[in-house]
Amino acid sequence: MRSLSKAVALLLAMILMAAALGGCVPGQKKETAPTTPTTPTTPAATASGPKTGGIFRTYVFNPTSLDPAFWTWGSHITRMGLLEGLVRYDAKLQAAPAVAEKWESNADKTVWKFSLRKNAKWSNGDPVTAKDFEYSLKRVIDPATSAGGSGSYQGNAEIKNAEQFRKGEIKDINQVGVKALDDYTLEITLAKGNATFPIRLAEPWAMPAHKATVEKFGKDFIKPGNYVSNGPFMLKSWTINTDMELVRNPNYWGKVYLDGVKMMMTAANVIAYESNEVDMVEVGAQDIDRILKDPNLSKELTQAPTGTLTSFFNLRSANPIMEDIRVRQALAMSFDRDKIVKAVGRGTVGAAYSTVPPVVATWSKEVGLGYDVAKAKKLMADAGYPDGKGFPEMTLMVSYQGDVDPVIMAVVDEWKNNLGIKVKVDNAEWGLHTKNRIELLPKETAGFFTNANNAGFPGLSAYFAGLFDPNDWGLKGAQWGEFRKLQTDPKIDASQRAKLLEDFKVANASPEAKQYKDLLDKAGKETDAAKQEAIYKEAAKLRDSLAYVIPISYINSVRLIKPYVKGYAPNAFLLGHPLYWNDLWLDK
Amino acid sequence: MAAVKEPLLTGSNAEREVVYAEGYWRRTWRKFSRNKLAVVGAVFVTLLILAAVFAPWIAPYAYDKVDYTATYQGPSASHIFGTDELGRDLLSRQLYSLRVALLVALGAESITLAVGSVVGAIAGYKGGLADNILMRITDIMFAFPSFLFNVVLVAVMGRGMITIFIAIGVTSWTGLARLVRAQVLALKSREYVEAGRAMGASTSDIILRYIMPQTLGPIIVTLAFGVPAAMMVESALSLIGMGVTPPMPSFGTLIASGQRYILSFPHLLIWPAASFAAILLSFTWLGDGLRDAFDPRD
Amino acid sequence: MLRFIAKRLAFMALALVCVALITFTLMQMAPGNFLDIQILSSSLQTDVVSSRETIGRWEQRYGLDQPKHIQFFRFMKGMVTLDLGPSFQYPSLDVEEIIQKSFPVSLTLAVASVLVALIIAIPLGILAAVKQNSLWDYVAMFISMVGNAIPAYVLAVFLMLLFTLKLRVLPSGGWSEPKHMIMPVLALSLTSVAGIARYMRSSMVETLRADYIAAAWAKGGSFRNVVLNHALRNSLIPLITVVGPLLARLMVGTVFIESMFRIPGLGQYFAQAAANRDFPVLMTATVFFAFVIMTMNLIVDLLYGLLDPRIRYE
Repeated sequence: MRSLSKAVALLLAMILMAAALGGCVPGQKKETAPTTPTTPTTPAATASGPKTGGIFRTYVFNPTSLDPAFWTWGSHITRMGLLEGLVRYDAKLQAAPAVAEKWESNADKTVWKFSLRKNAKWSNGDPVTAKDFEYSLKRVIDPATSAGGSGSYQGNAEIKNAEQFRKGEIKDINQVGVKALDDYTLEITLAKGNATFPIRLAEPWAMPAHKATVEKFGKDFIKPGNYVSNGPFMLKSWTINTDMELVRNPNYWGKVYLDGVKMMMTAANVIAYESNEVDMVEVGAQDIDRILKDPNLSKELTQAPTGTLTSFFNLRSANPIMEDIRVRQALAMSFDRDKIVKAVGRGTVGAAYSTVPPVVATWSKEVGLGYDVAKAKKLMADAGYPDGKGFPEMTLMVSYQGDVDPVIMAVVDEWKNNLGIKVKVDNAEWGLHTKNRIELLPKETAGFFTNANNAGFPGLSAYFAGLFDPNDWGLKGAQWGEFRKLQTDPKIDASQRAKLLEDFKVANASPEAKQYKDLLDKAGKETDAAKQEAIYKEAAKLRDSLAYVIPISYINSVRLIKPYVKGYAPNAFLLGHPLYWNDLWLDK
Repeated sequence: MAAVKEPLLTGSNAEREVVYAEGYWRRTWRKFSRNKLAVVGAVFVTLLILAAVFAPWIAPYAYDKVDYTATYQGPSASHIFGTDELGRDLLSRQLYSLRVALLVALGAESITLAVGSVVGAIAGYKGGLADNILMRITDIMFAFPSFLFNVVLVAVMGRGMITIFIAIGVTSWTGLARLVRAQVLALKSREYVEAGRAMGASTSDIILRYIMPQTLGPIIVTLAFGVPAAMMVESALSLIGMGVTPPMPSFGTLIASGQRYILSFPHLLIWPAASFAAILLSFTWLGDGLRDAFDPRD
Repeated sequence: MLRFIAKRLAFMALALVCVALITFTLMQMAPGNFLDIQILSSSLQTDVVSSRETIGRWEQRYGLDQPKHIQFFRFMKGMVTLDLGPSFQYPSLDVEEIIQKSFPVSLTLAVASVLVALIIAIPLGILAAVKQNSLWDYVAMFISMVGNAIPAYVLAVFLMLLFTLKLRVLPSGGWSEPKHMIMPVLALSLTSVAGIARYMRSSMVETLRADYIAAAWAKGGSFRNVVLNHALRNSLIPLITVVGPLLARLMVGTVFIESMFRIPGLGQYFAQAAANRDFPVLMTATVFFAFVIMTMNLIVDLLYGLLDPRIRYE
């Protein structure tokens, strides 16, 4: 009997131990959502001013390439401290001088002349010249450069002849509107007049690449030891998937306080912050409660809104059910964003009433459809599905490694309770998920997929340039099938294809979609900022009322920052990361 | 061996001891029931199977019932194990995870059993070229890094239970095949098999009715140990997002998401991990007991 | 003996080709392709759909526009000449570079974990065997089994909580100093102890029953002489059959430990590679690991043959 009782005793002991550990942690009572922590005001500079020295350590996303011609999340790292463009973002995300000291344009804002400073140098001592920028911009525009991945050039920058060259209509790259007039003057010609063009040159794709290095090492030019940079830091080491170290660039013309930056690339780990191994870390919903209860940590928590939107996009389906605007609007209006965000997100997300975020527009909540269950129920009934009767089971396609984002599950639950409809959450593996988003799905599968969108550049117009366009998302199932055929047919010549696709969209645009496009054209031509904003507001209202895209939530940047880190300003367009590494200094 | 006293056939009152050979199964059962740990394991496993089968009736809540007013709660009267980030009851989710775990084990082991025993039996009995080819195939399958192979299979077939059955089944039949083959090799030259052959029994008959019953022991042991193995693989796959699809819970997903909460809401990790461990242990004890019981020695 | 090795090597070559072929075929069947995934992953997308031209250029660069069997031959040739071309995900890194840089790390981690596991498990197994069916036996086996029942990554979380957060004696991750190895190795080894300990125990029990051991006891041998000298030596030999596959398994399946502790090993590439359809990395990794597993098996068989005089290979 001894061994039996021993075995049972051991098993019971394990269970009891589990009970003790699980149940005895203090403060597990029902709680209201925590009060949101405030954004810190920028502290007044200490009497002695910024100190130099120290290495700043934090987590960043995992880049796959440091070549500005490739789009990856790593491109942001090139912009943040390795490379410097003609223009940089100031604290208000407006264009400030960087390599270019000043710039001017002609009357209709189509030709821009940038005067470069004479003291900018590469890390190997070479001077930074306008020819470097001509080379780099043309290199990025040339699709052959990024044939190994997704290119970073943003077509909506509208450099003259760039799109035509990329589509193959023009064969000579020298016809593209980028020209170095002399060593220190760069002239850029645009296809359309754009008063705010310069800020586009602060983006990762507009970063320069050192010609001699690229030509010498080819694809290996991004490796530490080969990499030549013109920014405040140089690349010291890079272990893929693990970490990257930057060290101060002695040849940089401007101010740098830090000796170096160490970036970890694995998943953010709050424990590393608490053990003083990193100086800044992002915090997830699971840790917020306990941080707020900790007297020290709660002081170090900051929160800032960002412009990254999670939304539901219409699935391309042969089933016409989503083509009824009443159904779409009912769905958009029938879940309580505020309640969900508070209970589930706990401060890590903000409610999204519109596809234009509050960080760019004060009228964001105004233009959205809002939350009105009674109206939503009526719309559903009008569409023929009173209380959800007769409504087929919808599919919501997501792709999460672990559990589905609880905010999304909460929305699904609200739909079930308020509208009486059933939703199947299809959590597919990423490759399959991306395929399902593009292809036309059969009748049995209709509904939405989720996506997170970031703006390409900090500005109101970024939320209209190609994102959430009803001309794209309003295409009905059958039309999409044809569109897809046009896109993938290998027999169509490249130069013809673009025009065919464009024509197709125009021919199949609904009246509202056409109206939307006209509004955007009008806004693009408007030079008065206030008037332009009014037009965008109208366009946003129209777009949100069509509900092809249902906004759910905006990501908040919630971070723990050590008190000795100074100079941090969250970049609302990049999940709250610092704008530039050389803004930061350590007070210790 | 069981001893029995029997009267002598002559007229005296003397008795003699006659020793009857005990049946294989009888002896095995006796050895098993003497091993206390194994019995505990068996009892526990039975309880687990019952809990899994009756989960829809036992579970206090549906596994996907969301309740925002009660998110992240610790153990309480209304939620014995607490709730998760959506206010779902952890106990109910664990019960369904148990279902999933046993289903996955069942599905995967069916494939393992089917493929492994057929391959092993044919290879062992036929010998020669068939043996050679089948064993080479087994070796190739064995050389496949199983984790990678599972991941590739999930990428090809998409997430879901069937994929996991196939993935785990396909990567684990090699052990059973080798085992069955060894057994068949040892048994095929026994006298009763020769007798069967002499009587004109067909090959399949011989394999199925003469040899297989004797190999059942090791097969059962392998199957018992296969359950914890399958559960471990499923949990590893869940960790990289290739396990059972949420919102259906599995121990893998519960533990994978629970370990993020270890500092804030430890009940979300402790309960699933402890239950997982308890289940694995019971099957291991059961397996150990079975193996010792089927051991022909002593 | 040499003929045996030669036959095995020949078979290994054949097996590797089969493994490559199976993996290649499977990858062709997986839905979604790398570039679509890349473009859709970039949330800066202004054009949600990839264009035919972009895909075309990309296919050309990586030789994907060739017929399938040509692609397969090119890959096999690359495996032999060790020149496998760039990975899709990291276009500036060649696959063989990736393996060259990260495999040694995974190998170190695996070897260290196996060693520590052996150091813990062998005494446990001996204890259990010598005191068979007593309390010691059950306690020893229970300890080892508990490690087995907890997944390595859960143990890793607890270790990090204890050593990094509470005690502040170890860093949360990295791979530049010896102390970085402590937690990951502990997590991996403790979960492997059970298998080794149980095997050791049964092997030892087996050996202790043998006639020559009874003879040694009868001759008046001490515990140390009989058990540690005679029995142990003979019971260690079968352990090789467990250690080999364990080592191979640890080299492949450490994805989460590597990610948690910021270890630049090979494991992290795979989870990514499968999800991203990074063919070159996936194919190479699968074939490479199959090679490692088979080599391990060959070494195990050879060692066994060397150490156990009853076994002779022809």
